[in-house]
Parts: sequence; structure tokens; C-alpha cells
Amino acid sequence: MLNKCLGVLTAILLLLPLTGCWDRHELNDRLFEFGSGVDRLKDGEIMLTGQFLIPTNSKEGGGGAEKSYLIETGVGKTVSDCLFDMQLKLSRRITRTHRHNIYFGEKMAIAGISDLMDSVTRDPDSRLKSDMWVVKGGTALEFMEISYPLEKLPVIALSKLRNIIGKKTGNSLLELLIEEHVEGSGLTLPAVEILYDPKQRKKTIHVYGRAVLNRKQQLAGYYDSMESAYRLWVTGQTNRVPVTVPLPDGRGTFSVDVRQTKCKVRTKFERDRVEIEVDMKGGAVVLESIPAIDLRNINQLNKFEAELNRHVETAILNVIKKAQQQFKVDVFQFGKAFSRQHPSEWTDLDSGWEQAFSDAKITVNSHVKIRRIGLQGPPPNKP
Amino acid sequence: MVSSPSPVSYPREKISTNLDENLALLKQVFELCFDIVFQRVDLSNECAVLMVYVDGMIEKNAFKSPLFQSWLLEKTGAGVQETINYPNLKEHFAVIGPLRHESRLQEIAESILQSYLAVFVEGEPEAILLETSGWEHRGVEEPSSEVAIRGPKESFTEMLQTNTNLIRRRIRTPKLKLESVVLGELSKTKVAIAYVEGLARPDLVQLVKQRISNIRMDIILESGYIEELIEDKSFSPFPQLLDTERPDIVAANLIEGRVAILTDGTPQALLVPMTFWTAFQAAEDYYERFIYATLIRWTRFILFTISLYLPSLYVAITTFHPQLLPSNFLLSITSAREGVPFPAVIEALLMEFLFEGLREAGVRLPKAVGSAVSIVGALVIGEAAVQAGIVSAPMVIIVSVTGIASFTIPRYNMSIAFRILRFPLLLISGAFGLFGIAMVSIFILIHMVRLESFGVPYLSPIAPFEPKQIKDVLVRAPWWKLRTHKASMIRKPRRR
Repeated sequence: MLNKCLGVLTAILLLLPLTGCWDRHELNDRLFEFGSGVDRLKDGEIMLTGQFLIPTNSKEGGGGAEKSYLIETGVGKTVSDCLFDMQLKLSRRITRTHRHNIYFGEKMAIAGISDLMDSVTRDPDSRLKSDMWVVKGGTALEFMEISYPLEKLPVIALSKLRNIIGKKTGNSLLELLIEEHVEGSGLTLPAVEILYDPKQRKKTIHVYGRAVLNRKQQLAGYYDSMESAYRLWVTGQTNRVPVTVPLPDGRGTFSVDVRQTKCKVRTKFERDRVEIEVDMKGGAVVLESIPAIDLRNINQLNKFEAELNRHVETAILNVIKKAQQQFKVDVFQFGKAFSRQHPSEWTDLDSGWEQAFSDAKITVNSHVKIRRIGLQGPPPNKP
Repeated sequence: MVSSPSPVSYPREKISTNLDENLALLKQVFELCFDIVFQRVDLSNECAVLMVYVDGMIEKNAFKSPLFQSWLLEKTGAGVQETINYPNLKEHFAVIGPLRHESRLQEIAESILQSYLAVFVEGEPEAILLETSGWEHRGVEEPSSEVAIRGPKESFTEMLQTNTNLIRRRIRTPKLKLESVVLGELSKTKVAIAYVEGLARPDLVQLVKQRISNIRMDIILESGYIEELIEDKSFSPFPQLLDTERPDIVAANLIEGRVAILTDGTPQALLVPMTFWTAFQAAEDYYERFIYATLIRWTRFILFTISLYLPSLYVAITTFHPQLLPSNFLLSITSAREGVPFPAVIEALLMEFLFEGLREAGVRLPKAVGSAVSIVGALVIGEAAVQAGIVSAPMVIIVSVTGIASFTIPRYNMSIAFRILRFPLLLISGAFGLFGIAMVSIFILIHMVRLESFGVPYLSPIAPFEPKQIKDVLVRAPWWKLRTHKASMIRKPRRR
């Protein structure tokens, strides 16, 4: 009995070295790709750029003389083609499981990113939490080559930046895949750009706003950062929007931070036209007030509030109109609201939603209340 | 069993009435045994006695006791002409200690070896056997391996009698039964089976007695002999008998219905049946307040998991699944591992092996060189190996955390089980990653579920689940919840 057991055990143990197909890869034999970029070359081929960590350098920390990262490119017809080309230049196995960011060059985005999506969703080595970005007015390679002094890897800088200004600024691959299935909705990706500061004579990275893709996943245009913030308010993906309101007659401006933002979308279908009513709500906190007005005075406060609401209404209407007229893509999930409120009409509208959205009548009502005025009534040193 | 020598042959069955003849007989039996003392005393003209005993094993002070002295004086002193004869001699020896009389030579010889004083009287066909054991032994000291900050500081000694006293002092009821068995053909080791009548299941007591009576050994030097001979499954890393050097633990377990086995010459008592969870119950759990006791018990559970899994998880995650690590953590590990020549499995095995070596050396080495070894060990493993780039710093952390964690298990023999299991886990994790760890864990679990200790499933009361008995497993319930339940812990197990 015992001998039999031992025999079976030995047989099992001997199977281990026999198979020889272990998945084991030591950390020393791996090269972690923390960011990758995709650019379209002139002849229709694509160029994959990878930003890798050089492990030895990161130990010394602030030495600074040498770069702690490595950038390598690969060219091919498909992503895996490029990866193969890239691997030929690298002594260690490319591991993409820690990829934080994927950048698309502007030309790539214009040509459409739908062809690239299969690679990232089919390959188990790919990471669903990677954030995707569009480089406005440049290529991914250019963007990735800019060094960033605060972080070991420039890609990590962008991930942290995203966390600071609000997570919803970015779009992970996973969120993108979910967004794709929202009724009538077009995709948006965060846009970054390269800024050259002539006074400091350096290039730096800058979050521009949002790139809007049409339903063929081709670049349709950009929203700047403020427009993006308003868009997030409408889609309910943010709970803080900073707003700066100019008072009429040039009496100065004031800035508020709108918190607990809410948005209600009501849709109607009348006489073959979609009518969309957007109700904005929130509580504002006054951060700064230039005019010499005592906010403790309730009448003055009401005036401020009315001005704020008027400003929000026009701003949001403009953002939506830009999508209607310029991009012709619904990026506000109005389609989702309409399909839930009018499911029977939606079946007819589904295919032609872009047109229906562009022709829709939009009404925006803002009901933001100023909840706190800060630590003082009027500004100091002003009567 | 080792080949035992042929049984001792005795020249005749019964002793004679002649004192000289008896002396010759015993000298023949104890030939070449210089430690046997033959002491012939003529108490009076009519009464000569021969005392035979093992030098140093009897209480010599017994003869100096005032009672005995005064009696002798009374009988033999000047002017006293009373006869000393066998009946009154016997009567007065009873003053010293319990006695019996025996005429069979073999019984007498064996009793002498068990520290009896044999007194032969001229003209009598039987000898008086006086129990006066009193040899050199260690006193009751503080427990060395089961230290508690709060609680009694007594531990068992090598003297069976002292040990039973320590238990009896805690349970003063005639229901505490201490049954004596003699084991070992040559050693004649005294073994006591202790249980509380009415609390211990009769069939459990019967099972223990039966297994112990089946032991055939020449010599029993330690309770470990008995443990190995009566445990349910020999080929298991898990201990199936609880051993302890604390009398308070034994007393508490007797009240819970367990059976204790005390062995002469061993400062450790065995307790049956043992379950897996008892390994996490320290004596202090019951002396400290229940909130702290529960928290500290959970600390032990967590550290137990760490001691079993940490090295293999590290190997599996870094070599198979680096995506499971947060990026910044990965950055530190990759840069620390850069330049290390070995694969992570080999590195882990090497370090674990070295740690086992250090531990063994720590137990084995003479006290005088202890600090030297620990300094060299700490320097070589901790500092130099990392500096030289042979081992990575994270691995040193992993191994030392594992080492510390394994010492938190209150039962030493259970921590041995985990140390044994850590190595197969490590090997498999190096070959199959997390999948391998899961497979080995399932195997261990299957084994544990099948294991029984004296008819009680090893994982009870969790598996099979007994909700009424769970108050002292994952938490230590307060005593006002526990007191009614404690007295009936070991129930008849539910059959699967």
C-alpha cells in the first residue's frame, strides 16, 4: 500500500520536469511596459511605442543623470506585428500587464481606433485597467518622449494627474468597453497635448480636455477642459465642477465650486422631433469674489445665484450644441435616457439617433444654490 | 521493536526462611550490580534482618525519623528486654510508609528496582516491601516552552508523583481518576491515565486504555514514544495528541472531557483527543479578558496563514502573476531583484533552508556560543547576502516574517507541521504558480478533514459543524457564556 502510494507520488513529481512548458518567468527576465503609444504611419502601417522601466536605475532614486526608462518602437500592420518587431530589439520579455496608459496619436485617432481594440481585448496579457488618451496635435511617440521630473516614468505622471483632477477625467479600457454599449452614445477619450513654454524653454504635458469619437470610433473633435467638465456634469460622472462667472456690466467675476452636482434628463418625442430637457442641480461654494459686494446680504446673494445659473445654462447649452452641430455625436448619454423613457419609439430611432440628436430641441435649466459663501462677506480692503 | 534480551531467570520461585540463603539468592540475582546494597542488621539475639535496596533510590531519612529511632531505642536500648519479632517489626515498619509482604523472589527483585526497601527477617518465609522512594529530582520550575505572562508559573517535572499532585491540586474531587499502568518490558515506566469520571466519555477512556495496553516496548523514555504508538495516523504532519508542560492546561482539558496521559520521567503530559483548533488556544487566552483573547487568537490565525503561505505566494506572484501586484510595489521588487542570480523559487528554498538551519542551531548549540551563532546568522543572511547580490532584500523580509509568524502558534508541535508543509507548497508554487498553491491546499484540506484523533474529527467543531461547540474556536467567548459549555466539549462525534 505504502509502496504504491510512493510510486504514484514519484510518478506525479516526475511529470513536473517532463512537461517543460512552465509559465514561469523571473522578474529579471521581464520588461514591464508601463505605457504604450500607437501612431499611424503614412503608408497605413502602425507604429507601436513602448515605455519601459529600467529596473536598475530606479534604485538610485534622485540621481537624475540617466533616464530611468526606455522607449522602443515597433512597426507592423497589426498590433501583434508591432509587438513582435519590438521584441526583436529587447532582451527581456515584454510584459504588458502593468500598462497604465495607451496613447493614440492624432492621425491614428482620425483614422479610427476600432481596428486596435481587438488586440487589447483578446490578448490575456493586456490590461483592462489601462487608460486611453488621444494626443492632440501630435504623435504618441513625441508625447512619450517628454520627460517628467517628478516621476520615474512619465506615464505614471499622467495616471497620477488623472487621480488629482478627478478620476473621470480618464477612461480606462474597461470603461470604454462599457461605454460602447450605451444606447446611441459616442465614445470620448481624454485628450492631452504637448505645451511648449517659451519663457521656461521647456516642453511639458498638459491635459487638454476630451476627444470626441464618432460611432465609427474616429476622431470628430475636441472639447476643452471646461467643456469636458460640463459634459461630466450632464452625464452625472462628476460631483465637483469649478465655475467662474463674469458679472454683467463688467463689475468683476466670482468663482464657485459646484458640489453634489446632479442632473436630470427628461426626453419627449413630439411631432417627429426629440425634445430634451436638462435640469442641473448642485450646491455651490464661493471660492473667490472680486466685486466689492457683501455676500451676507441675501439680496446680493440671490443676484449672484441667478447670475451663476444663467451662466451655467448658456455654457451647457453651448457644449451640447457643439456636439449637435460640430461632432454630430451624442456624448451625453441622452440616447440612454430616451431609450428608457420611450422604449417603443427608440426601436425606430436607434439607427438614426445621430441625426435625431443633432436636430433635437435642447432646454437647459439650472437650479444651483449657493450654500456657503466662505469665511467673509465682502473682500478685504474694499469698502 | 529492537530485539529484547532473554527474560531474567530466577533460581527459585519463593524465598527461603533462612536469611543467609536469601542473601545468597539475591546476590545471585543482582550479580555485578554494585548499586544494590545488602545490609544485615542484628536487632536482637533472636531477630536478624536483611535489608536490600538500590543505593540512592530510597529515602534514607526514613530511618532517621524520630518515630523509628525512638521505637528502636525502646526495643533495643539499655535495660529493655522485650523481644523483637516479625509481627511487631512489621507493625512498626508501617510507621515509615505503606508496606506489603511478598514471598515470590521475582516480585521482590522487581520491587527493589522500583525503589522499594526489602526487609527479610530470619525464619520468615516472606519479605516486607516498604515504599520509600526518594531519589534526587528537579523541583517544579517555570514552564520553558509554554510561557504565559498571566497565569500559573508551574510546569511538570520528571517525577510522576509531582505531576499528579500538580493536577490533583487543581481538581480536588474523587471523580478525578488517575489510573496507573506500567509500560516497557525493561524500563517498567509508570504511566498514569487521568480523566474526570462523568465528564470524559467512557468509550474514549476505554479506547485510550486499550491502545496503551497494546504497547509492546522494551523501554519508554519519553511521552513521545507513547504518542507515536497510540496516534491514529502515523503518516501525517499534523500532531494528533496535544502535549503540554502546563498543569493548568491539563486540568482545563480534563474538565472539557479529555483524557491525559502522564509518563514518569517526562515533564510533558499528553492530552487526547486533539483537534486542529486547540493548536491556537494558549493558556493565557482563558486568563486574559475575552476581547483581548479573541483578538490575539485572530492574530494567531492570520500569522498562521502567513507562516504557511507567504513564501510560496511571493514566488507564485512574482514569477507567474506579476499583474497582481500594485505597480509601485512591483517597481521596488523588480529593482531589488535585479542582479540576483537565482530564480525566485531557488532563492526562497535556499533562504528557508538556511533559516531552518539557524533555528536548529539555536536549539542545539551550547548556551555559551549562542550569541556568536545568532550574530553570524543575522549578518550572513540578513546583510551580507543582500549586499553581495546573492539574495534579494524582499526575500529576506519574506523569510523573516514567515519565521516570526511560525513562532506565534502556541503549540510547538503544530508549528512543526506547518514548517513541514511550507516546503512542498514552495516547490509547487515554483512549478505551477497560484494554481499549484490551490491544489496543495486542497490536498492538505482533504487530509485534515479525513484525519481523526481518538474518534473525534480533526477539524471539529468547524467540520463537521457543531454550532453549540463553537464558542471557543474562532472567538473566545466570555466565561459567563463559556462555563456551561466547557464541561461537555468532547461529545460523541457525529459520524459522517
